[in-house]
Order: sequence, then C-alpha cells, then structure tokens
Amino acid sequence: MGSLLPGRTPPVVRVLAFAFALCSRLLAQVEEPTERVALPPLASTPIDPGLPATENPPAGSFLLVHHLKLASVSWLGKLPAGTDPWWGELEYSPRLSWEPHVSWALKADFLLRFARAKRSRSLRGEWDGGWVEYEHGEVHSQRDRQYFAPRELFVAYRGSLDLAIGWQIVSWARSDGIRPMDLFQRQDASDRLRTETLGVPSVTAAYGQDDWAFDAVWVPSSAVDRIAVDARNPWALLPRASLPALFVENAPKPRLENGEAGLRFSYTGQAWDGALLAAYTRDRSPSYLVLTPNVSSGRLEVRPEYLAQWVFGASFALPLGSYLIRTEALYARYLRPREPIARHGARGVAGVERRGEITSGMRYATIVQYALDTTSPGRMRASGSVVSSPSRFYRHALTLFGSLVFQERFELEARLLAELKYGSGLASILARYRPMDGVALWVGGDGLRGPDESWLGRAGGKGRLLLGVDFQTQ
Amino acid sequence: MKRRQILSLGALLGMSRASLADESPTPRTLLDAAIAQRRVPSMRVELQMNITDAGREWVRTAVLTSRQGKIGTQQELFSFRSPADLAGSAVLTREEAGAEAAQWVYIPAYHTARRIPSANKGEAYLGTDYFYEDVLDPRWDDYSLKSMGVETLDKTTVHKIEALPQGDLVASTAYARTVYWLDTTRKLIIKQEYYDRKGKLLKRLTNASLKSYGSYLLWDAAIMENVQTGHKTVTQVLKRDLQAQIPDDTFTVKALKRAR
Repeated sequence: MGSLLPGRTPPVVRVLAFAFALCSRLLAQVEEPTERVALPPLASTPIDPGLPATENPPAGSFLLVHHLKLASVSWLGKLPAGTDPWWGELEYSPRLSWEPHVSWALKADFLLRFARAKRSRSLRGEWDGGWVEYEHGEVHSQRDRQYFAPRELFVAYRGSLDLAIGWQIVSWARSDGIRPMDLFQRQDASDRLRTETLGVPSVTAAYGQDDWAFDAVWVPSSAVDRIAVDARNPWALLPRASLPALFVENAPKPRLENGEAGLRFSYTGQAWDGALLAAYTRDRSPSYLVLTPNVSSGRLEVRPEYLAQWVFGASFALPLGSYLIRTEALYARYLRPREPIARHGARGVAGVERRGEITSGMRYATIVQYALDTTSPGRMRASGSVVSSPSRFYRHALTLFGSLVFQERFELEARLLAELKYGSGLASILARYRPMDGVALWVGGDGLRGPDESWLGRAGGKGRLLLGVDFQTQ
Repeated sequence: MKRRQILSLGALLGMSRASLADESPTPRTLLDAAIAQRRVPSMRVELQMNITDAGREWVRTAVLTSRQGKIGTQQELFSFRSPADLAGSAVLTREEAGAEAAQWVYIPAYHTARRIPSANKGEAYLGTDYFYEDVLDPRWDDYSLKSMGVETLDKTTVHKIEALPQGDLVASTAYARTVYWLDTTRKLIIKQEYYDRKGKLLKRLTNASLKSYGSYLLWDAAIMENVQTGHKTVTQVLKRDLQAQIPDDTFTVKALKRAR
C-alpha cells in the first residue's frame, strides 16, 4: 500500500498509511476452506499458478482515507480593483468511518484548507478608508478560502430505528448540480464555481423496511452557508459603491427558536423511486441584503438576512429504457418576506440523464435539466435599502452536463448553466488524468457572463484557469 | 420487460453437490440446476480484484454481501474497501420475482444514491470487466438455449450450451450470445464466453480455485478477460462467511449509504 503513494506525498501521510496498512494486515483473518477439492487442472487456462498475490483489505469495521488537494486558481481578464487575481490552495481532508459494533458507527470527515493569494496590482489608492492596505506584489491569506470545518462528525445507532447525532450532510435531492431538496446541508460558496458541501449540526432518525422509509431531521439551530465576504475575493457580495463596504455577519443566533425540522417519506421500488417531504427551514444563503451607510465609520454596511420558510415538495426518478427521468419540486412560503422578495413560490428541476458506452473502455454521461425558481427575481433588484439575494440568479435556467471517461484514467467533464431571461451563464470544463490509484492530475477552466444588473455580471472576471493535483490514500 | 443474463461474481457464490435425476436433461434443466445449486441463503465475501490494462495493474478490495432465494430473487450489496478514491462506493442490486431488477450506486463524495437505468446494465461495473448485468440472476424465459454438444476440457467432460437473447432483451443486453461450459456431474459452470452485438467474442470468464465450504462447492477465483481490449479482472476470495449475521435492512437504499 505504501508503494502506491506518490513521491511527493508528505511524510506524515506516508507514515500514517504504512501504519494503517500494517495494522490491517495484523488484524485481518482469512477463513480457511473446510476442504480442498481436487479438480482436474485447466491446462488451456492455467490460471491457478498465475493468480496475483493477495493482500488483506482494510478491516471491515474501520476505514480511514486521507485526501490531499493542491490547486491553483487564476482569474483571466481584468478584475475589479482590490480583488485577488490568483490564489493557491492546499487542502487536507481525513475521512474516518468506524463501526465498532453492528449497531454503532462513528463518521468523521474534516476539511482543513490553506489559501495564499496575490493581490490585485490596482489596489493601491482605490480604498481610501485604509482598511485594506497591501504592498505591491504582496502575497497574503485568502481569508474566505482558508478555514477548518467538519464536513461530517456524527455518531450513529443502527437498529429498527436509525438515529444519528452530530454534523451531518442530509441529501434528499435527486437532480444534478441544482438541488433544491438538499435543505439540510450547507455549502462553502466562497468560490461560487467550486462549492463544497458541509454538514449541519443535527439529529436524524430513519425508519423503514424494504422499499419505503421515513426520515426525520431536527436542526437545533440554523446554520448558514459560507459566503464570500472578503473584499479581495472576486465572489464577495459587497456592492460596488462610492463608500467602502463592510460585511456584517448576521447568521441566526444559536437558539432553539431558530431551529429547523423536516420529514420525508421515500419509496424506492423495483420500477421507480419517489419521495414526499415537508420542512420548516431557512435560506442558507442570504435571502436579501440590507445596505446601511454608517456615517461615523464612513462605510456602507452590508447585512444579510436569512428568512425562515415552510416547504412542501415531491421528487421521483423513473428509468425509461436507457434514460433516467428525474424531477424534484417544492413549494416554499416565507414567513416574513420583505420587498422585493417574493412571499412564496416554487423551486424545481426536471431533467433526463443518459449514460452508456461509446466503445469498449470509453463511456459517457449526459444530463439535461430545466430549473425553475420563482422566489428569485432573476437579476439584482433593489427596494429602498434592500437588495435581492445574490445567490438566486435565475428564474428559468437550462443546465447541461456531459462527461467522457476513457479507460478509467482519462476524464473530461463539462457543465453549463444558462439563465434564460437575462442571459447570465456559467460554464466549466475539467480534464482529469489518473496515472495510478489515488492520484489525479487535473486542469480546467470556468467562466461566467451576465449583464451588469445580474449578480454574475458583477463578478467582473470573464474566466479562470484551474490546475491541481489530488492524492488519496488509506 | 427487459431480462438479463448472468455470469460473474455470481459464479463465486458456489454450488451444492446434488445430482440430476433426469437422464436426458435439456439445456434449460442443466443451467437451472447449476444456478440453483450454487445459491447460498446469506453470505459475506471479502474480495480482491486485480485489474490489468495495457501493462498496468490496479488492485481493488471489496465486500460482497448477498442474500439469495429462488432464481430471480436475490439481493446484493457490493462495497469497495480500497483504493482510497473508491473506498465506500457501493452498488445495491435487488431482484424480485416477476419484476425488473433494480440497481442503485452510491458514491461517497455525492452523499446520495443514484438509480441505474436498466439499459445501462451493460456498462462496466466501476472500472472492472464485469457489467452491471453480470451480477443479475438469469431469466431463461428470455433466452433461446441450445446444446452445443459435449467436450473434454482439461480431462473433464463438459456440456457446452449457447444462450441467445430473445424479444426485448436483444436490444437491451450487451451480449449477442453467451456460451457456457458446464461440468454437469458437479453442477459447475467452469467457463463462459460472451459475444458482443456484432457476434465477436467480447469477454471470457474462467473460474478457478474450487473449494468446499460445508455442503457448498464454491469457486474462490475467477478471471474475466476482455479479449478485444486485453483488459482483465482477476477476482479472488480473501474471506468467506456463510453464517454471516446480515441485518434485515442491509439491502435497502437507506442502508446503501452506510456502506461508506
């Protein structure tokens, strides 16, 4: 196992991997057959003498995977003054799954990321308030992208009723990319084109038999997405104004009255899958922003609000020949909306997926979807000091996904999201090469466009170049 | 209704020692007997797969948990333990009498189980030379079976049987025909060959390392070779537990996510 590690893997990872492989071999036992049966040798296919050496797999109750990522993100074109045109990231994610007993399990998945960035050359003099001052050519931390957080950390009891408590990623959606039914998880949206799913502190229960199940979730206190707030991050929500802007954290306070809950009934039958859900939850990205000039500090304060809402929804997946039809839709009703936010509306995605082989060793996947969000204005709208959500940038959109995999080593993946009314859009392409198990080299590009009155148009940059390498070992 | 044929990992599940009473068995009888006799009510198997491609070798370890009833009713959970980038990925297969087989795949990074359309079951099974349809029970009603005579294979007398898909299955299966080599005395499928839709030999499965576990005769190794590409998957049993305690909800989509 240790020999599979690339030469540049940090020593600590190699030591951990070696120690774990050693423990696995000591702990694992191979059951001997009760009797060996004489079978005439198959001379034409003498496979017995040629069988490869076996190695014991990791003990069944324990799994520890180390994931190390190195990435470089470079914005192309001219960026707004004061933003970072390049940053490099080093990310380490250990993922642990331990089942000491058939009824108990511990799951942990952490994310630790360092991000160093190079400042924009045109920064000097643009911000007279002096709250961001850097020397020409300085390299500094990209604060939005540098943090430590649990993706998941929970203890689970498994019996006739499954129970789990801790940070959990509850995934109820069926669609690709845009997933309105993923209500009980949060996103690291500090890079809008490379989001990460994070868990929320919650208690979950599941009860079911064969092809049906009830799932219940209780989130004692709301958790919100990580969003870009650093003025140096091109994705920052700060408006371009004559005054320096200051983001004011306004996440719901950790109180039981800010809790959330959801209930889902799901059916997974031989012919189709379906689910119904009802939930009291809250927008995890800002529902709207309130802009308030602060005369004493000379800054424009930007305060996000996260609205509570009731949602009722349904989803299904239906195979039709070589196609898979997937739909999910929900009705959302905000409790205390404020102009220009809609009081209620529908969010949904309907699409079709097809996968197959082009030639032996080359397979493809395509997904086409239509997405609807009538709680979104589709562009930036303001009413007095209130500005609509920067995260909801479409009312009607089309998404396309395509991938090609060749010999399990070469992968090409492309995505497109086109907002249908105002012309905003996102696109990305990624090529990945796996020279060996646990190592992937990748290069990609993404871009965005949109009119100035759209949030995507305000990001300024027209595209990015991404490079990276991933290591995984256990 | 699209029916599937089998092969494969299922060949590792074993065979019993019962003998045929019929003196002139039909191809259907021979195949049914071989399939029926290798069925183990519940079992947990740890596997190693060595996948060879253009001189490179990839090693995967996995756990196969299964529960089998009559032919056409079985449940399987196949979960990768290594390498790291596949660890926790799992495939759930559920077959019920009179219904289309259903399969779901779970990839830990996506935190969600995805249904596999039936027509995609001719797709490679997570990078191996097995297809999704290779782990399904045979539905002989959807095949035309023909005896191709008796041969001697390595000093063993074997019956050669050809299975041709019929009806809707023709369009949905990856194979134009499959040929079986059966040791009818011990009810063993020794070898299988799969032909692609153009009629060319596509894959060859050769079983090996026959061992006795209680009343069962089980293959503890198998080679699935794609003769068109040279790609090869060698599967070996590392540990087999025929008395495994398998919780009742193991074969549900809810439990599939636990495979992580």
